[in-house]
Amino acid sequence: MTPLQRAQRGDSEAFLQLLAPNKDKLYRMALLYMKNETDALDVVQETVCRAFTNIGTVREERYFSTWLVRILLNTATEFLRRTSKIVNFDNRIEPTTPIEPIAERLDLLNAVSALPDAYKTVILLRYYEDLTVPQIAAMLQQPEGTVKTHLHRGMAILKKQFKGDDAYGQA
Amino acid sequence: MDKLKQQMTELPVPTDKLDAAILQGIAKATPPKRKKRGYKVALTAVATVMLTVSSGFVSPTMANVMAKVPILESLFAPHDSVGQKIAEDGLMIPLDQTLRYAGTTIKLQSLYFDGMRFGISYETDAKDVFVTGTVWIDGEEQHTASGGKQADERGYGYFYLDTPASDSFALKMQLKFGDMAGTKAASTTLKQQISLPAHFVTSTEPQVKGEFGEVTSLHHSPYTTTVKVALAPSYDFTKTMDESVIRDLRFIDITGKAIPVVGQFGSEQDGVAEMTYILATHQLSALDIQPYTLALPYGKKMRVPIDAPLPITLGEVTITAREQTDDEVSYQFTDARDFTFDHYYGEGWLQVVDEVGNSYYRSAPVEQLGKNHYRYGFPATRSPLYFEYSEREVLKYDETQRIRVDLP
Repeated sequence: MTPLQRAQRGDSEAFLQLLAPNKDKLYRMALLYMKNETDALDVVQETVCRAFTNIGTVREERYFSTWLVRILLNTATEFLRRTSKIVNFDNRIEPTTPIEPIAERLDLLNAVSALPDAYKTVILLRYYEDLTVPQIAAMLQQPEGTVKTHLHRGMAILKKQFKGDDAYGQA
Repeated sequence: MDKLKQQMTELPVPTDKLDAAILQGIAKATPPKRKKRGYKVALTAVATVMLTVSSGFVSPTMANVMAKVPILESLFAPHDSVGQKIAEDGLMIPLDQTLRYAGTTIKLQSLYFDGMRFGISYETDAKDVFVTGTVWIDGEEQHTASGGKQADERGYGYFYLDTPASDSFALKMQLKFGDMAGTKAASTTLKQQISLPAHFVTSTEPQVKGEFGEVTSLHHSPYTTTVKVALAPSYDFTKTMDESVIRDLRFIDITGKAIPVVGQFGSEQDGVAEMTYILATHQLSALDIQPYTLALPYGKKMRVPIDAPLPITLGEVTITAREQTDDEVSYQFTDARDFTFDHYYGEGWLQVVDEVGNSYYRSAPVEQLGKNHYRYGFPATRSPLYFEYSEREVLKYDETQRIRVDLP
C-alpha cells in the first residue's frame, strides 16, 4: 500500500511522510503572504488540518504537492481576509499586526512578498513551484490570459524595483 | 528567477515550531474514514499529539503556538486522568526494558489497560517520540487505532481496540518507537498475560436514536466509556467536503458539564460512518449527547485590557472575577450561550494576547466550574495583556436534538 493510500485510511504517520518533503516550502510560502512567523505557522497548521481531512480527494501521489500548495494559497488568502476584521475596543492598541521584515539581504523575497496577492501567487507558482502557465490557470481556475497578465504585471513591478539587477533573467 | 528559488531556500525555517504546527494541524483534522478491516488509523484527538512540554516551565514561544489550538492544552494538565487513576488502583504492569536508536534512549516503564485501550508509558531523552505498533489478543491480530502524547521526558503510546477484550487474555504487542518520519526507530515485542477483575468491561447495545444517528454500542469500564455512534447520512461529518464547518458531538454529564473525550476515531461499514468516542468517565450513571455545528473561520475579534474594571463583557462572554498570586493570574468567566463548552473552551474562544496579538499561553486547561462557568489561569507577567474574544456567530445546536444514554 502506498503512503497516499495509507494516509487516505487515516494513517497520520503516512500523511506526515507525504508532508515531510513539502513542509519547509509550505512555511516559506505562507511567510511571504502573512509576513510574520506566527501567522505563517497558523496558516501551515490550518493547511495541514484541511489537507489531512480531505486527503481522500487526491487521486495520485504525484499531485499531492500541487494540491497542498493550492490549499495553502486558499488558506493564506482566507486568513488575510480574516485579519482585516479585527475590532479593537481599546484605541490604544494598534489595529494592524506589525510586519516582521524578511531578512534584508533577501531583497527579492521582500519585493515578492510586497506584491499584490494575485501577482505574488502566480510568480511563486511559476518561478518557485515551476508550474507552467496552463497548470497555474488550472490550479487557480483562471483563464490563461489572466495568469499571463498577472505574471507580466508582477514581473514589471519587480524589474522596475530592481532595475539593473540581472539576476532575474527573462520572465 | 533562479534568485527567487535561492532566496526562498535561504529563508530560515523555525523547524520545531513548524513541526508543532503540523502536529496541531493533524490533531485538529477530521480523520479520514477507516475501513472496518485490516487498517490501523491514527487518532485525531489529543492522543495523536506528541509535543515536548516541560512540566515546570513552558517556553513562551512554544506555548504561544500551543495556546492557539485549544485541544492541545490538555497536555498542560492531566485531564486524561485515566492512567493516573489506574496507577492509584494498582493496575499498572511495570515494564523494564530500554530501547535505543540514533542516540535516543527509550525506557519503557509501565503498561495498562483501561477497558478499551492499552497505554504504554516511557521515559526518553528525545523531544518527540512516535509510538506505533500491532496488537494481538489470544493470538488474533486486532484492528487498533494508535496515538500518543509526550510531556517533557515522559510519554504515552495508546492502542485502542475496536471491540473489548475478555477479562483474561494473552497480549502480544509489537511496538515501534521512532521519529516523525519513522526513519529512525527501535522496535520491541511485549508479551503479557492480562488478568482483569471480573466483568471489567460491560457492553450494551442501547440503540438510542437521535437526529445525528444511533448509539450502537457502549463499552463501560471503571475508567472509560466507549460510545459508538452510527451517523445519520444527513449528519455524516466524515463525508462533508466543506472545509469550513466543524460538525461533532458533545458529551455532557448529568450536572451539565462536558465529559472529556480522550480518544476519537471513525470507521465505515456498509456505507455507514461510525464514530467511536472514548470518554474519561468515573462513576457516571448517564450521559447526554448533543450534536453541534461550528463554522470556521472565526468572526470579528474584540480586545480589551485584562486589567479593565470588572465585569468585562466581550460578546457572549462576561469576565466576572480576578484572582492573583505571585505566579498566576486567573479569571472566572461565564458564557451566555446555552451550549456547554468543554475544558478546551475551543468553540467559545476567549484567549489572552499580548500587544501585538500573539496568544499568551494558559498554564492549564480552562477549568469548568459549572455548566457554563469557567476559570482561566495563566502565569503572571508584567507585560500588558488583553482579552481577545472571537465571535462565533455560527455555532449551531438544537437542545431538542440532545439525547440521554443510560450507562450500564
